[in-house]
Amino acid sequence: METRKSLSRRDLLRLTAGAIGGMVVTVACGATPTATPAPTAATAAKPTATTVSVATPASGAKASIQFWTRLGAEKQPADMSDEWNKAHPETQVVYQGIPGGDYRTKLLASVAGGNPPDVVGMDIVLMPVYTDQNALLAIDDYLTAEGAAFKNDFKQGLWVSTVDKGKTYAIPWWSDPSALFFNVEMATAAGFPKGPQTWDELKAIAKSATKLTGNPDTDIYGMVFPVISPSMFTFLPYLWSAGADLLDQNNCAGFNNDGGRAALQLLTDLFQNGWMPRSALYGTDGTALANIFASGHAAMYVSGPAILAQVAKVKPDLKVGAVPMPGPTPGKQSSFLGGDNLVAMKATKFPKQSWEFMKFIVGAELMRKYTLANNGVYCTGLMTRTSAYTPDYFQKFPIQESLQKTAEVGRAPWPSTYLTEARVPLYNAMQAAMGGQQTVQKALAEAEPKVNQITGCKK
Amino acid sequence: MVGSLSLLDRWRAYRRSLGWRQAKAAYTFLTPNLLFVVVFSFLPMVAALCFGFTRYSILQMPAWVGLQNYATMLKDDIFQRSIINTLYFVLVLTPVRLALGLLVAVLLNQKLALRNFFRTVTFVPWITSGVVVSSIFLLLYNPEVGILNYVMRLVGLPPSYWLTDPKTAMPSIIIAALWRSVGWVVILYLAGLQGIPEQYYEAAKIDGAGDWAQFWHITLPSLRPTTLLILVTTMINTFQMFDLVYVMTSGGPMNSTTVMALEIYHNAFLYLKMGYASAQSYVLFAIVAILSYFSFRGFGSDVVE
Amino acid sequence: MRLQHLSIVQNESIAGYVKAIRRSVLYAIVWLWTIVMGFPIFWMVSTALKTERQANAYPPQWLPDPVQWQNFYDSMAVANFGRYFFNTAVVSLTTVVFALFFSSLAGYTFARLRFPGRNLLFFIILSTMMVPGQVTMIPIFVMMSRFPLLGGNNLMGQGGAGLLNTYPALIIPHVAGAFYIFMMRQFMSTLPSELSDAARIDGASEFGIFWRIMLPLSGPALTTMGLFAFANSWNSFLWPLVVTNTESMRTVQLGLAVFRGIYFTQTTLFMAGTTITTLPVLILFLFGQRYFVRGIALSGIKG
Repeated sequence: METRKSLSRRDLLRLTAGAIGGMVVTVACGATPTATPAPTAATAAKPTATTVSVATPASGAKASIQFWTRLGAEKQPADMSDEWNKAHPETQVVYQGIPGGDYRTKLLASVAGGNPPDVVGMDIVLMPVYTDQNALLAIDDYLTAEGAAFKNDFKQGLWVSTVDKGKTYAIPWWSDPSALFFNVEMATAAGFPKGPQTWDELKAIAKSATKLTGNPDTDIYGMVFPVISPSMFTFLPYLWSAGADLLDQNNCAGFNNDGGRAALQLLTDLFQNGWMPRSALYGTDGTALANIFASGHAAMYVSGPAILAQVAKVKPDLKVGAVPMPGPTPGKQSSFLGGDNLVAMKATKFPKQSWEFMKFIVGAELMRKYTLANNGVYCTGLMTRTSAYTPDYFQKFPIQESLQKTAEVGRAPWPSTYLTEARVPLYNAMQAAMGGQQTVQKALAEAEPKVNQITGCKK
Repeated sequence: MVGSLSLLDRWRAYRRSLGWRQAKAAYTFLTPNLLFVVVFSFLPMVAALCFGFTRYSILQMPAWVGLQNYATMLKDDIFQRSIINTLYFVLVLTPVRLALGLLVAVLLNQKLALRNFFRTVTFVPWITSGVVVSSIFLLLYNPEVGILNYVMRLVGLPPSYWLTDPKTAMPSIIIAALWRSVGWVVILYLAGLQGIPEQYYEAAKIDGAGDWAQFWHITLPSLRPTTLLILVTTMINTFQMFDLVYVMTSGGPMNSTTVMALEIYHNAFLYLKMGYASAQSYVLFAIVAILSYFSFRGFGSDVVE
Repeated sequence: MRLQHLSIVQNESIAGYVKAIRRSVLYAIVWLWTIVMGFPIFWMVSTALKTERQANAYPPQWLPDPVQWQNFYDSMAVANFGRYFFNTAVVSLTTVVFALFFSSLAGYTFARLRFPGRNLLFFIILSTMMVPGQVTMIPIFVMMSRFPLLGGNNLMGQGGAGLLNTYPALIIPHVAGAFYIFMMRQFMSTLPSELSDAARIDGASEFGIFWRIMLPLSGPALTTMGLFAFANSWNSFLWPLVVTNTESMRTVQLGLAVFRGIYFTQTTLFMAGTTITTLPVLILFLFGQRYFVRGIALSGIKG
């Protein structure tokens, strides 16, 4: 009896030890090969970014830069990183394209865990969040050392989102302006072969093109655009051209006025007259909506340049034109200049190398090379350097000529930390007004205090 | 002297008893498990509880604000709406899934040709990921070109707006959730059904009881522990449903499908209000805990001895 | 017409007739159920084999024409899926083995052993299931990245990357799930206690009782839980996304996300990729089915 008991207890002890041992072994084995190499102390310059002191790596020690973007579906940044790695064996870049809409989550987690990346391709809408929390590296000194020609080569309107309280934190990387794309055939039939220049023209095209037959196979809609997703990209330009805004410079709601009402009334008319499909207002499947336009079943579509790739996939022979988003009167066109900036996180251990890498990525020649090889599309958007736009580029991709106008008339939203949260009451107001549940006046009037509560605006 | 054993003697007696042996074994067995549970489930829970009393943007250190987050919730109508939506979702899905799962389990428990094939088809949706289920249903539910509306038009029914109408969006999500998770309920009920001794049914038949009476007086009562198990586990899971709404509707249209888990996610990672999100998650916790408690009281007096 | 007045033969033929109708109705319902359950899967595979153009066509095409078999190849060629499958398999299998061992041990303990604090501990464990993962994710992530003495970290967990981007980071947080403990407890509580009583009288140790008697009887329960844990691990997305940093550590769900760009989804390739990545789970499932459905009667959840 005694021996059996003690044998079994030994069994138990052996088994538990084995289990714990197994875990320890897995941990030890797993924890070494693929973990990011810990930088040696010699290479770590304290991130006092205002000095341009070169943090030279101690001999033999390699610098390693983590480069993250939200372009999980694109190959270009990976290829660019490979090019850098071949040319710079002493500074290796580890690229990660974060898939899906979860890149904000991953970025936040990495900062919380004390392991943020070094260089990030950051959505311009996200920039104020990080500059407000003092998480980015200021690059003014690097920029000055580079000379004015470098800075001036970028489309000037794009620098707005890179600046906070007088300091510059980013370089504009790729630009994603919103434009009004139109089906050339349908627009011409409505009398506007060059696309709509004003809201009235827009409504005219929508009215003339809409043919609802009761059979989705032959239904044609005047206007299609995702109202709720992606973000304010498709609505703010109308506000701007009417003199209103989501948030003004004091972070207060700026849409409860004549301009805001006029802009929302435009959209309400478009929907209430039956010129837009239902899923444009209430749906979140952006691909399905794009396909309505790309397959030739809609006259107009509001989006960034990414729609061109979708058209090429679904109906390559479709003739598409582009204009900046129209305003209420001629000459009041506008556009939302979205896209990504290149930033370096403040906690980076390699500020100098990160700057060199960032400069490399936005090199004009590199931009041009990748864009020409990718159907005129740079990272799902447009190039940000004027010198990269050579005449042969416009010859090859004539529609890019019209897209350039968006950079001239467009702007970025005021960098506000609250953009992501404050847009929600506006969305709800849009859905309520366009769907007919509320009048435009009431919807905007109700949304204003909600927005102000979020931003803490004192009015 | 018989009645007053010394403390040491009593201790020695206990050590020799079955109770001591069991307690020692229990704690030995539980220790590795408890280690993981404490470190990776319990501690983060406590951290979240503490965050609930702070303002925490994740990018900077948390700052104590006391009960302010809970006070803000009283004015947050989107959050209040999300509580209602979540309750709607759970209180509709849970009983429907339970009843449907039971019915299907009874059906699949009969002697049928190709029974394994039928069972497999029931279980397969359960092994697909939430993103896949959502993507498929987005295609099916498309009001313009989706196949569901196409079929409805074919047979003369009016097409539905599915996810694009505030009134039909949540039911559409419930249907997708039901499709995905009913297989789990069926498996558990099948197991329960097969554990009911045949003799009960034979005795009932001899007494002249019909199918319905057998079901009501034998099957259902025997399945009470199974029902409790399914009820509690699926309810806890359903309250935290996130991926279907995240991919299919993002909470719309007009906040009709904003569930608590989605609102928590938005606050935590989009609005940088992790403290507020943590407080919200404890409201969720409280609701789930209360409902679980009542489930145990109602169904499983034998679960906790 | 009272049945007693008919001859026995007539009674039987009417009864047989009724039985046949009942069987037909039963089969009809079951087939209808199969169609409803299987239709979305069918649609997934059908979409996977279409061209992008056909996937958007109206009227919707039931079957692709021509069948784009190369979508399967293309979807896997887009990234290093071979590596992703390997990673996911390693992580999922390890998770399952450890999870089953720990949870069956804990489940048995809660079900069959009496010890002080049993109910309290059980409810604490149960309560850990009730807090949504969105808010516990950051604390667990910080634990992983500040794990002392690993991945370049010092004693205080500073300086390196801790357990980030490693297999343990993917495995460890999911090993002691409260859910599995709860389920195993329920299964184990239906096992006959006479067996363990008899074994105790014979002098077996508590662990021996568990290992030699109770565990073998729980085969079907273990299979069910194992499949569930495997599918969960195989399908998880957010945690692997947050915790991995290099191509070499990605899982299949992260690989699939390549088809969902910031604006548009490549529907057909995504469906094709999904079909392929679901196959391993499906195959395991088909193998395990024999155990948990048929055999559960022996040790199942009884009344």
